[in-house]
Amino acid sequence: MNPMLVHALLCAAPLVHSAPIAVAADPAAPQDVAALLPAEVEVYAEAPGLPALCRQGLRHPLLASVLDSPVGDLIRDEVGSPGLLLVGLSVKVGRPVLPAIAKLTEGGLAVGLVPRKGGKPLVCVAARGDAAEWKSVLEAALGMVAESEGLPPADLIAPQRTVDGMHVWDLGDTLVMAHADGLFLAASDAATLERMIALRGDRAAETSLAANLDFQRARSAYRTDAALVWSWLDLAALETSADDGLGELRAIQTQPAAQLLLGSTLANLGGAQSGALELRLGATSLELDVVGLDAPEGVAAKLVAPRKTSPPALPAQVDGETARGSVYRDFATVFRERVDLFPPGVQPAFAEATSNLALFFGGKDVADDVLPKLDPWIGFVSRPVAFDERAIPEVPLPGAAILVRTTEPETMGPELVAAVQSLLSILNIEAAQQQQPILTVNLELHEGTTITYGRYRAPVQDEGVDLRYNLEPACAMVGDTFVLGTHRALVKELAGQLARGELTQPPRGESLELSGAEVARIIAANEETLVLGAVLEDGKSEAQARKEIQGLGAVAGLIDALRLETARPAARDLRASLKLLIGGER
Amino acid sequence: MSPTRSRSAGKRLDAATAAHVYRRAGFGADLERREGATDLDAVLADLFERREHDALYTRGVSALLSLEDVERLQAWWMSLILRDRAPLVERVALLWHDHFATSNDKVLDVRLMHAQVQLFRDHGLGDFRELLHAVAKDPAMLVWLDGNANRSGHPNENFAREVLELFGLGIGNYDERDVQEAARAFSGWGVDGRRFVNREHFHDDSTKEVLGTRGALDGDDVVDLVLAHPACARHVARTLLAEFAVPEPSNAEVAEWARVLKRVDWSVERFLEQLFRSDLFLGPASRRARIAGPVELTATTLITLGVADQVAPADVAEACGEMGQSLYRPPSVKGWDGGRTWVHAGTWLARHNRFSGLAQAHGERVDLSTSFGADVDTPQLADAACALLLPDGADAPLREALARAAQEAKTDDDALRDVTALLLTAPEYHLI
Repeated sequence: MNPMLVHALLCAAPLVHSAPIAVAADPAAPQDVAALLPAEVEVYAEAPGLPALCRQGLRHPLLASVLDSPVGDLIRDEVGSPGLLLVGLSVKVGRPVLPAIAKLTEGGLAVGLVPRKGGKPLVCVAARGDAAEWKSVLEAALGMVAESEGLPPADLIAPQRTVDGMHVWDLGDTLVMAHADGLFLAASDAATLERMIALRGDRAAETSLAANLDFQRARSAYRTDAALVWSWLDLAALETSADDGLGELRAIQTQPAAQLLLGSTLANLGGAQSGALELRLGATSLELDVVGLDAPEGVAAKLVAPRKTSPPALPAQVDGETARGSVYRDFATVFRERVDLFPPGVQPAFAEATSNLALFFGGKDVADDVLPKLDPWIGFVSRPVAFDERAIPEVPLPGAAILVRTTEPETMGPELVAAVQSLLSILNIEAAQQQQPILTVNLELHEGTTITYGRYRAPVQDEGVDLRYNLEPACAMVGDTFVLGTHRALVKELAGQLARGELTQPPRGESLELSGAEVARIIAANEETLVLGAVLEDGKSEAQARKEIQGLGAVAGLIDALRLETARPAARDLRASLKLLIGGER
Repeated sequence: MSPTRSRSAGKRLDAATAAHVYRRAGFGADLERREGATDLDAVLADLFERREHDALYTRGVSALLSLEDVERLQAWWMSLILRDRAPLVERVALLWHDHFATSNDKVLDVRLMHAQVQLFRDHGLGDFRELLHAVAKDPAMLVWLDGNANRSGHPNENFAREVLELFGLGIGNYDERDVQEAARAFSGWGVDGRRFVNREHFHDDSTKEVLGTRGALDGDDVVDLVLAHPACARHVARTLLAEFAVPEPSNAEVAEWARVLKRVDWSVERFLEQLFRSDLFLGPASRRARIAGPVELTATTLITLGVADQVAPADVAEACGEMGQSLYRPPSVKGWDGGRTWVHAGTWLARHNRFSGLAQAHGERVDLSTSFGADVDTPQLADAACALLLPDGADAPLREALARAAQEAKTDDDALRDVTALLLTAPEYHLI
């Protein structure tokens, strides 16, 4: 290895961290790289933000804050210093690697894929960048391949043929590549590469992916300037070409349980005609948008939150809160239109549910008499709970509560409270049959609100406090809002906030926010149990299990908040956005 | 020849005998431990002196129990066995778990189940008289055999019957009237929360006659009468001999070892020390003398192959359940029937699948490369595998089959796995 080169690279290494972000020079022929991929591409990805990220390197504020955190220590322990790894890689490839990638892709990088059931997928790549850098990199790469195969470098470096002015290299059965003037094309077969070469300069070619109307719409509507990576998937085409897993994903929308648990937006995303993904790396956030375009009519249209409604206000956020959110679950429509919405196979489950739920509502038809009176927006709050001193569970979990509004609080309030009392009674009967502890049902007046709650008899000292003591089910009716929670203390707190009008308006669509710090606290509080669980369940050594649990805690502690939001940006388009806030303000 | 005749101290051990001692008194030993086992005193010291489990398991168990999940508790016990830090303690705990069989299926409280097995761990090697008294007041046992329902005027005979029939004397040494009278003596013993309580207002304090003794007897008196009965020492000795030595000891052997039990003041530990040095235990009658239970066979296999730390204890516990031995869940108050009942069509299939899966890496991949020795090459594999896993000797057809499997395998790794699988699924390997 050339010691001068090593020295030069080591000297240049700090520049990886400190080089200012240069504005990417537009190449002479800025044809969209997507236009160079063939029309049959079903999975597409581009990386418009890659050159800028590579120029910032480890100085990117988000990467820097990760590396400055305990997670950075874990990374260094596990794989070594990222800075030194980059220097090592740079030495290996003979040039500073990140600046080289920036130069190679500053005019765009696009990757296309066409899965083939039972066969190798077709893969194609188009990239545009600095012509001299591409020439140099290709020569170096081909030289290394030649060396590994024991061939004279000149044998491989020299192009094997020229097609429409592009130099072409055939490298075995699975890679053919071409280069000219900073444009690099590659494909898994020669015919595809030649079609890509033919697309060069033909902006109106119908055989190009760029001519696909679904692709065009997705890209213009759902790719932002901040995208680091943007991807498009032709879900309808993939259903026949990809493995069976996608078919199962697309069938989720017909499953009532998925609709109820995931919500209609998430459940229907996979059923869309096409999908778009965008990954953004901000100074203090990592964001992922998943969009389903042209979701099916029917289930989606009927069960997804209408575009013009907003969730009701929730009790104001308090310090140390674990999670909160608002979801839209239109149970009334689910039950009323079950025959149209879901396949015949699941209809008996609706009948059984209707029958069982009637037990809690004095024999009423829940579908007709209860659910239509409940707002589909359901609030959710999770906070650490102050347990009774005599009943602090050995594995303490945060409490959680849901909040539901009713259009008829005066009649539905007592009905809902009675339903909870009936549920506790039924649970008690089952527990008594198994000689298990039962819950006593109690009432408490708190700031003018009656709290109904069940509790287990205080555990006997030194006999252990079981997981069940995390449960002190409680409910209350405050104005038009019914609060149902896992613990009396939480329900009292929320009822008090509602009564005092201490409220916060949640985001417009469905949302869920989770505090990383609280998750980290829960992990730390239960570290011994989690470590032992990993040893017993996964067969890990104690050291390995502890390292992983502490790593998980460090990752959680790094995340200020995790936010999941869903929206309906267009009539038949659905969007789920995941945002990790890291090392910054909320 | 006296069945209690012992080997002299410092007796040199051959490899097969060393393997037998570790297999029966513990859960096997890997190649390294076996190679160092040339002296009986040293081997027994190793087995009797290892009694401390890793701190993680002891300090973490309470929170684990709070999750109220018997499968986690099964995995926890299995991990104690597989880590092999206290082999004899766990062996004896498993024996008493079978003898005083109590199931979580009825008790429905993993803390009580854990406390009972901990009792076996803490006192299983101690004075059997103390153990029987403690078991009679054990909350899990009282729930299991309906102690709470045993009240003056409404005696429940479940515990009284089992303390006479299964735990202390054996059938033929008491009559039905003894059961009824003993039940009245135990009346009032029950559980409040997770603690033993003697509810005197429920106790029948009138005169009873149990095993020929009259008086205002209570539960402790009945346990003492059981222990004082000549059949008790024989019953306990028979249980210990069947587990550790010969599955069906003769009446003469039982009588002689019952005298040993009394002579060592009912100390299970001292009884076993003597047994493990005896010709009865070390001789051919005890070798490969019974069909191994799923827990002992699986644990012994993993420890002997040196791969016990490469598997998830939860998976091993589940596998044992599939083979017919679910820890904390014996099928009845009689425990597991054992013997030939371990192997029927369903459980043999499970054994075959689990053991071949272990070797062939169908499940978690385990590294067998050093199990039979680091420098064993394929032509030596069959002999090395027999030396480790069947040290008492494999018959010629099995040896030939193993050699052929090694020869026909495509790679050295295939040979290792094929030979191991063939040996682990050979019927003779399932004898212990």
